[in-house]
Amino acid sequence: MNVPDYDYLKRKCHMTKETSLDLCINAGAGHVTSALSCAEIVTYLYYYRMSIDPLHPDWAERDRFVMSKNHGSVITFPILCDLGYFSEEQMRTYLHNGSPFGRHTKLGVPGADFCGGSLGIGMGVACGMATAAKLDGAQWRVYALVGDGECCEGSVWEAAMFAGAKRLDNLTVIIDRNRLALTDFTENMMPLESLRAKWEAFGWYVAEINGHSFEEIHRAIGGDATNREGLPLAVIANTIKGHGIDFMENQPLWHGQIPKGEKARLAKALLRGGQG
Amino acid sequence: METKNAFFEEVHTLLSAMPDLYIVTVDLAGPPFDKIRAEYPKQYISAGIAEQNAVQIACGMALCGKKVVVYGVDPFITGRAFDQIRNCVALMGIPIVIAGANAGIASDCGITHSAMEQMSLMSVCPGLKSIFVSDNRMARLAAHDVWRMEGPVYLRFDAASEPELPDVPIDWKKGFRILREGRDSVVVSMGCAWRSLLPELDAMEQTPTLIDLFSYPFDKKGLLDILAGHGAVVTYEEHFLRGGLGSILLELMNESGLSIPVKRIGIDTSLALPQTYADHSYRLQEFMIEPERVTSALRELSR
Repeated sequence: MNVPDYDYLKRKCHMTKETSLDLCINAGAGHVTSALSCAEIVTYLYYYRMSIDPLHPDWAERDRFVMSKNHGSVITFPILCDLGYFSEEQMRTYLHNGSPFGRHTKLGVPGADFCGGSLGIGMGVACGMATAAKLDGAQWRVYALVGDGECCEGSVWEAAMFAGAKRLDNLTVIIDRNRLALTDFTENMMPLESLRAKWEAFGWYVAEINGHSFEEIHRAIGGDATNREGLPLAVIANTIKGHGIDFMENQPLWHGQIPKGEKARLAKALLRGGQG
Repeated sequence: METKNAFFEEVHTLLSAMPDLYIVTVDLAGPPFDKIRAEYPKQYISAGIAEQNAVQIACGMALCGKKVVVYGVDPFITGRAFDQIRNCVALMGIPIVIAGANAGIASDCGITHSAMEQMSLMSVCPGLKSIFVSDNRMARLAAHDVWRMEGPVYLRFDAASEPELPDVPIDWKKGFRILREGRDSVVVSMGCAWRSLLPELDAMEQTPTLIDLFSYPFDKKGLLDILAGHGAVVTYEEHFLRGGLGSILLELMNESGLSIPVKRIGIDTSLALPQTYADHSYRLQEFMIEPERVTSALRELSR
């Protein structure tokens, strides 16, 4: 397994977290906390793991990324911009009327493989993509990012059953296990544990990691499928919702909220200081 | 032969020449499916009894260039998977074909299996073309043509066999066809409703003009021009009145200022749905949509 340049990934992650927060604060809206919990995962996928070509967004052999927890998709915009899918000027139209850059990614965003918003759908679509690759004997892979609160949706488990049964080892699903939904912690609202046992029972190879550690993300996702005996890979990424902004971390009801005034200044300072 | 089987018998003949054509199903059998499963196992994908995921799988495959027909029983494939159809198929414009069997109230499994709302549901999905398959000739033609249509397509098949309607050419864009030129009044119906309606109309001495409105959307102006040449309209459907064929025609006529009497015969949503077993003709009575009501309405309107 090759070793990524972790410093490079950290710099890119820092950039996307700061820019995402800036976009949201300027617009006065956005899902900042949901974005910050998956920043390292998305950074790793785009800057290291996935085979993509920003000059040819529709390249048939590219790896696919399905942002199923799509409310966090503002974290992908600075990355896609940095990779050259669109300009900074275009991205800065975030939440302007008529802009392709909204609170959820729609197909108007160059580089987007999926139009999200309705939770529970992305994983099944990712399964369909992985099936298509298998049928063609293609080498490209599919990555899906699913929220832990999203795992309450029954369609997630229909898809999980399908992928396990069809042995879609070209599919990796990362569960952003930040333990928070909108109003409450998942274990108070609708307990998900034992999440590992659930995925294993559905026929998946499961890795459990610190989702803010590039080293652990790489150990879980960086290899090939040879040690999994044909099983799809579920990565339970333990994360912190609002990671890097201490007063927003792990706080129910910060979901979909934006810091304003002094709190906005403080949030920016916290991320700029690298505490994220 | 049931209309869905006529469609899939034809699909079976295409699979060899179209290796990128796939069928995603939810654990359903029948002669064509048994053949397809045996002869083309790689092109037949069972999602288990999971309509939502079947549509999701079909969408994911279609996003990667596959031609996919996802087949299930109505009202489940359109009802259970409505969110997937709305969000993926319609809003993303993913060009899959959704085939729903069991249209109307012919199922002997009771009201749970009565598909009475598909036109309402599917007609509010932008970019989705609905075809209410009227006979086996249309089913066979659709099997060849749906792949050339722009965007996604929903096909509504009867729960039972349907009679062959008069052999009138089918223009998918036009979306309707005149089955018979008549006098004074016009009867508009669709899909599975023709099965009970046609024999009743055949027995009339002076038959009205018969229009098979087999698609939504359809050529509105073309249809209005024909309606305007008549003195009254009767619509007949095995479908809820709200959002159904008659409802859509009333909207259209009102918007265009065409003022002629209209009598709609369809299922009233305010009816208490029966919790009992019934065959098709008994169910037609319970829902007060026996085809005799069409001939009564025509007589009444002609007075």
